[in-house]
Amino acid sequence: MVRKIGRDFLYRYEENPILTAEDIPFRCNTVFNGSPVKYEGEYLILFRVEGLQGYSFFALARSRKGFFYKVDEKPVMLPAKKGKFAKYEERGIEDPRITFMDGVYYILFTAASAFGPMIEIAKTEDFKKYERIALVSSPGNKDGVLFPEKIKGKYARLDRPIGNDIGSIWISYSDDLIYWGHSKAVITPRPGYWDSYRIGASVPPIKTDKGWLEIYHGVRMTASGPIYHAGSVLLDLEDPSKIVARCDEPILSPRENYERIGDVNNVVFACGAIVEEDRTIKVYYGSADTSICMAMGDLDELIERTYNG
Amino acid sequence: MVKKHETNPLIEPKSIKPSREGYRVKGTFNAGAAEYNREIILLLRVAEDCVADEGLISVPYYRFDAEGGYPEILEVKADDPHVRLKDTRGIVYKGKDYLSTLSHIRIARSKDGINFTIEDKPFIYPCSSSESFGTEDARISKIDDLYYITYTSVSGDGWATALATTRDFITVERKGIIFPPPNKDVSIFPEKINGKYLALHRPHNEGFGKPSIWFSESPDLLHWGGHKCLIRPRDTRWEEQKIGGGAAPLKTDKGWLEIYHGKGRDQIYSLYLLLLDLNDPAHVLKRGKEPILFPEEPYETRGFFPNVVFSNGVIAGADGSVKIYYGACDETVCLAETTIDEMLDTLK
Repeated sequence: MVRKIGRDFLYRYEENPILTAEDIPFRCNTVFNGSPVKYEGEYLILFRVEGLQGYSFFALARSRKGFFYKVDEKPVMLPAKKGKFAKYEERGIEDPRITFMDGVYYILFTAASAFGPMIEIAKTEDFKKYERIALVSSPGNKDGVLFPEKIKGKYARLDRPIGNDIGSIWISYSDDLIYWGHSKAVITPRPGYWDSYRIGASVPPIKTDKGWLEIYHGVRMTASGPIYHAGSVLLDLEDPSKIVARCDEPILSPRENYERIGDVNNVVFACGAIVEEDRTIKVYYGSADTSICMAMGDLDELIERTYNG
Repeated sequence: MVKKHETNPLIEPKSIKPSREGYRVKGTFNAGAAEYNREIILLLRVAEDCVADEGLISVPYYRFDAEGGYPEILEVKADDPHVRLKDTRGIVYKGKDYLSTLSHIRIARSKDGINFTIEDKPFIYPCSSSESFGTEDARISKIDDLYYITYTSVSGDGWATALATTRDFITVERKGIIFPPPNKDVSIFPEKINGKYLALHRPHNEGFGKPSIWFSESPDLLHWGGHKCLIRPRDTRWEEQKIGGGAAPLKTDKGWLEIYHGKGRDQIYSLYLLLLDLNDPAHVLKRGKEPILFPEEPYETRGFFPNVVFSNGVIAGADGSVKIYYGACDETVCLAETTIDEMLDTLK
């Protein structure tokens, strides 16, 4: 693979986008915002499909080497039609983020309804059977990512409560993944920066010796609308409500046509990453709410760069 | 049915000592209420601003260190190029937001529930950056021997609800944020039901309908989940903007009785009744068709924020009598009296 020298720290996979609506074996409007995972020797991406009617659900793509993906014939998670979750998933399910912990793949996603977005958690052990666990936030919250291990005996998550011109990343803790508390604001928008308007967690935190590496999205509001970038921050390993270092510059910004033009222009929106044995980090991101792409970089360089601000 | 007290308003800003020199008390309202040591305790919201000299702009702000929060004053020339007036609620100075009034929580005590002695010192004073724009609207629930106080913690990150506890209304222990923003009007049921603590809360989510009353449960009062929407505003002149819970629900033999507020046309607030199932309070039994209290008197229709009546403190006597403390016009504390039976009768 040829490494393009660009303005961004992460370099794009040459064959981007890796998934578009054309790759889906059923009719749909767009695909975007997918979370990758390595499972039984395969690369999987659980991703958001927006149906033609406008509501979203999840499909699964599989690849032997992580470049060419084949999508399962049928969606794997649809909005609940009955039971206690149905009311809050009435307008779809969106933006899954997978965290592997103790043999279980936990999926945090957005439940959309007339009540507003809420964070919901589900789990799977085999990517065949998916089980909903709980709605874990009040409405007006999304971009939930679960830490891949307990911190001081508790599950921890980042999320992004929203409304009334606010848009910071918060942390909450739980003993059981159902009841959450000890909430605190962790990362806030920076006036004048690329992340000046709103920010939200993107990739589930990655443990490094310099701290929890969080790849987040930051929005800048411009005369022609919002621009979504990806950036990086390191959080304290023991107390992730504390920032160790935050990178001034984004690591990926919308530049290519497939990021610039789509259902929502000027969006790169990561929902997960895979760290390879050679320490390459592959970040999977939705581009322009229309396709799924991949960008790569050296994990240690990324940590270093973030650590040095 | 509900009788407004003849000496209303019971507490006015002029009876309150500012928390520092240079501050002025603009309002004392939205009081949480509890009985302790044969006294009625009110936790008043005290809103303060600064008096500016000619040609100057003066706004309050809090400074924080590891020990707590301190009231400070930002004074700048009105024509300072770094000042931008937002609206009457605040200014932006050098890119930082300042509000024109800031609130904290203060104790008032009374033997008769009518004549109150107000403490000079704040009780819940903003103590960290998550409270940099103030602490507001306390609600008290007594569970076993401990008083649990929820209050709105306001900052640039939004308004969230925090929890504190006290045994004696002298010392207070802070437990941190229990409902992240935007969420307020949190009241905790005074006992566990089916093994869980329960609360009403009011998330606010712009763009997704009108703010509504939600229900949550907790194993320990610190971690909350099981969020469900309980009731949404009705499309009436009293509720067409939003609704929110009041004080902790009262236990009656017909169900949990909650006095909630509605905000309607022309920004008018009023108080309504809601009856929830005793064993399954997520199940709504009855909802009042008409308000039990709305702004009529001059002290309710003229003031800092006209036409607001807002209750977050209710005391029920053993004889079935009920004292509803309510804030009027975001300025004063008032009292209305009724009984459990009379309130239940209106729901028939």
